[in-house]
Order: sequence, then structure tokens, then C-alpha cells
Amino acid sequence: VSEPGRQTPRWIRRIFRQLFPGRRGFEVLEDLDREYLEFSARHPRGLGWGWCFAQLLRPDTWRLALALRRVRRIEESRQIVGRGPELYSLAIPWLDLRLGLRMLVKHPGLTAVAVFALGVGIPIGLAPAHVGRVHETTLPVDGGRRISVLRYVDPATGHPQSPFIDDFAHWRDRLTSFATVAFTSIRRHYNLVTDGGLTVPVQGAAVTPSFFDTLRVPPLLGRPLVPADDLPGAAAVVVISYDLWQSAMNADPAVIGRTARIGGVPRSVVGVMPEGFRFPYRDRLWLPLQGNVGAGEALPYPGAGWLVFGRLEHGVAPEEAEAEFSAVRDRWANEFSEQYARLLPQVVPFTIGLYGHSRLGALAEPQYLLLQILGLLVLVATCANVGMVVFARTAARTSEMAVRTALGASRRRIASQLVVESLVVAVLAAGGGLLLADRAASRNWPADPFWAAWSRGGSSGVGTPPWRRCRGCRSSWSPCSSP
Amino acid sequence: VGLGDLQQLAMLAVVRLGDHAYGAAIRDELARVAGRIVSVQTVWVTLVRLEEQGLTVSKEVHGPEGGRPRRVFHLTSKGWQALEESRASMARMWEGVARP
Repeated sequence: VSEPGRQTPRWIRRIFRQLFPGRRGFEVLEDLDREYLEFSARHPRGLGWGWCFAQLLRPDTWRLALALRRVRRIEESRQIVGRGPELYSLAIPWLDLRLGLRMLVKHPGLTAVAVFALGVGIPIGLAPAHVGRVHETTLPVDGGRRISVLRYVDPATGHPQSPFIDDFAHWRDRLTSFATVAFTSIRRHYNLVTDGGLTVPVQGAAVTPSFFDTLRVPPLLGRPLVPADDLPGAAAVVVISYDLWQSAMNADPAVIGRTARIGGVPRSVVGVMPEGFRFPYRDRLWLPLQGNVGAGEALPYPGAGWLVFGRLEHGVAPEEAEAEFSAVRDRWANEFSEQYARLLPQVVPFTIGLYGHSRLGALAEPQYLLLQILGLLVLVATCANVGMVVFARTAARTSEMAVRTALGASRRRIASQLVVESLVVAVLAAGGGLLLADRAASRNWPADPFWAAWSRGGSSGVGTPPWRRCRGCRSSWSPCSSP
Repeated sequence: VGLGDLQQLAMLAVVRLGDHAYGAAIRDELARVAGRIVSVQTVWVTLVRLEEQGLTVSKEVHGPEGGRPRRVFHLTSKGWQALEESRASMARMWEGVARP
């Protein structure tokens, strides 16, 4: 040990120690001490600092710093992998990975906390994206982009008005931009009693016969509703969904013609829709409206929510349809009631119209933004908590780090190990979280509309609905390529 | 391996010093015998590069008084070969050369 006062100043020693790592670095430092001593002996005391600064400016100082790092890396590689540096870049991450995996087992509590926290946090954080996707998707029917909702919006409140049956009749008869226009109740519930005595509460829709023409989804069995079913005094009929056929009718192949009491009215089953079809929301049966549309009679379902939607003609843009809709509204206002003049006619995509969003969509609404921020905050808080737990584990291992440093491990080496360990925890926890999010998104949630199953990016949700597959490819999930 | 001027001198110093060929001694030897006064950093850069090229090896040797171990350098067979080739090529170049 050099005598006090005969070494290089403490500050330059610290810098040299950082520059020259390892045991060779110690020797370099000793040699520099010796040189400093020789210099101090030959020059006035104040010039020592000048010598120190000069050393820092020498290119060789920096060349040596790099060379010593290279050598230490080679030696480290030989110690760890028993080979030269050629395998270093592969072997070190592998070694760190193994250490990281070992840490997972050694600290099972931390692993469980991290996996649980991210497993909960990631699905919550991603929930707004799922909601946005469901609210703004295209309907999974032939030409789904052209299925649009026609509605009046009150400019004072920005809320859409529920349409009247006369509105529907008026629009249907005058709008040429739409190939077909249909009227449907939304979220209406019925009590179904089968001829076998089974009682099932179901959500269903009272619809005009044009409902099925607009969607262009043929039934699996029987026929859809036809105009004759909608006439006053016509036989009471019903079209049921695939799952209702399976569960309530025991998948009876001779279901057509069987009777079921719906809302106390015996109705004959005339058709079964394909699997997955539950338009407009999660409906399982479809009744004819029988409201004598256009005759000014009251609808048989007071208090129900209603929706008018149509299929745009080929080559007609929604803007063009909306312009025609405005013109029809103006004539209607002049003819009958001026109260229509203040309402804004809009033609919006079906999913936006069903939820009553503004025409900019769900993603542009402040509630959705708030939901996104809340989801993000939950995710950030979860990540911060996991980060703190990992930090606490690292802080508890200072003695291990000290031993490793004493044995020659570089700061970079220790840091890389800690990063890889954290990555192992993060990948496991985030993988678990994403898996849960995927499962949650793929699940058929009661609040989701039926088309969510065909619109989500979850592993089990991607595909073509059965009614869009050709007969030849019914058993496959590939989209139908036949015309 | 093409050796630089300072590399040749450092390797020769290593050979000359034998079991005492450590950093400071090599630097002193260069100054004393060859008249080359070089900095500590320059000597160490040269020694580290020779080691990287496999021309020398080093190991830590404890001093007789039990002080801090010093790193002593030795030439490898590859180092000897490189040194001899350098010497031979230099001799060939000098052959027939005379100051006019």
C-alpha cells in the first residue's frame, strides 16, 4: 500500500478505477501511482493536478480502458462457458435465463404475486379495447358494411330518437338508396313454453319480414318470415335460433310445424336460423310484427325499444343515403309536422346505431376515453407493484451481489443478470395476463352482442360464421370462396 | 502476425525479464535498454493486445514478501514464432543495405 500523500489524488484514482476494471486495472493504477510519484519528485507540487488531467486526455488511457474491458469479457467467458468469447453472446443470456428461471422457483411468492397481478391487470387494461372493438365492428353478414341504421338525432341533446312505426313505413316507401329497410324491436324478453312443457325465458325480436331480406342469412331449416306472416289475422308463427332449437326443442329434425307458446300465444315454428345467428343483439326467436305497418295502428308492444335499419344499394355511399334521407325528412316535415325539421337524419353503421353512439363512434366518446384512462391506470399501477416487488427481491440480494463483485463480476454483468431475471418474471406474468385476456375476450359474455364472437381477435373467435360458409365447406372455418 | 515496433520491443523485454516481466518492469526495460520512454497506459495497451492475439500469456504471481500479486507475462510459442519472423524479415530487408 502506498504511503498517504504519495498516491495520485483521490478523485483521479476514482476515475481510473472506473476506467480500468479488474485485477489488471489495480496493477495499472499502481504503475500510475509510481509514475505520479516520479513526476511529483521532479516538479513543483501544484503541477500534479496537471499531470492527472493530462492522463485523462491521453488517447492511450481510453484505448487501455477498452482493452481491459475486452480482456475481462474474454476471461469471464472462459470462466463461465469454458470457451473463448465466440460463445459469450449466446452463453451469457442463456445462463442468465437459467438463473432467472431458478429465481422463479426460489421466490414462489413473488412469482405468484406477479402472475396474479398482471393476470388481473392486463385483462382490465385491455377491456376498453375489447369494448371498442365490439362496438365498432362490421356485422358478420354478407355485405355487412352496407347494413346501416336510419335514425333521427336531437341536436339539442345529441341523443337519437326512438323511431315510430310510421317513420319506418315512410322511409321504406321513399328511400331509394336502400335495397331493403327493416324494423325490429331490441332487447325484448319473452317466456317460451314448448309443447313438451319446458319453460324458457328468452330474448327475442318482433320484426318486419324485410328483416331477413336485409340480412340475407338463409335459415338452416324451414323458412324465414314472409310478408304474409305480417298481415293481420295471419297464423301466429315464429323463427327460432339454432341454440333454442338444440336446447328447448332437443334438436328435433321435425321441429318445423311444432308449437310453442310465446308470451302466452301459441305459435308454429316455421324456421330455424343457423348456429351463432342471434340478430340484432342476442336474440333467440323472431316474431312477425303484425302491427299493420303504415295503417296508423298502434304497435302490439308498447314501451319496447325499436330500430330501423337497411341495406344500402350497391355503389351508394352512406353520405349519399344520408343526403336523400334529409330530403325525405324535409318533405315529411312540410307535409305533417314541423317538429321533424329540427331533428338531424343520420345514416350510421349498424353497431354504432344499435348502441346509440354518436356518428364518430364509441372510441370518440368521453366515456370511452375515461374507460381507457382507468384501464391504463390499473395496468400502470399493476406494473408498478410488480416492479416494486422485483426491486424488493433484488434489494434483499445485496450480499450476493457484493460477493459476485468481489469475485470479479462487472457491474454490466450483474445488471444484465438482473434485467434478464426481471424479464423472465415479466414474460411469465404478462404471458399469463395475455392468455387470460384472450380467454376473457373469447368468452361469450352476457353483455356482448352475438357478433362479438366473430369480431374479436381472441384465439377462438377468429373465423367465419356458419351462415357465411358455403355448403361444401360447412365443416371448415375457412371463408367461403365460391360465389 | 505482423508485429509493430513497440510490440516487438515489449516482447523482447518480456523475454529478457523472464520471471520478472510485469508491467512496470517492462516499461523500465524499454526505457533503459531501448531508450523508449512510454507511458504506463501505452505499455499496458501493448501488453493486453499481445495477450489478446495469443502472443503472450500472463498469470498472477505473489511476491516474496507476500505483497500484492503481480501479473507476469511470458511468450507463447506463437509469440516466439511471430518474433522470429519479424526478426528474419527485418534481417532480409537489411541484407545488402548500406549507407551510401
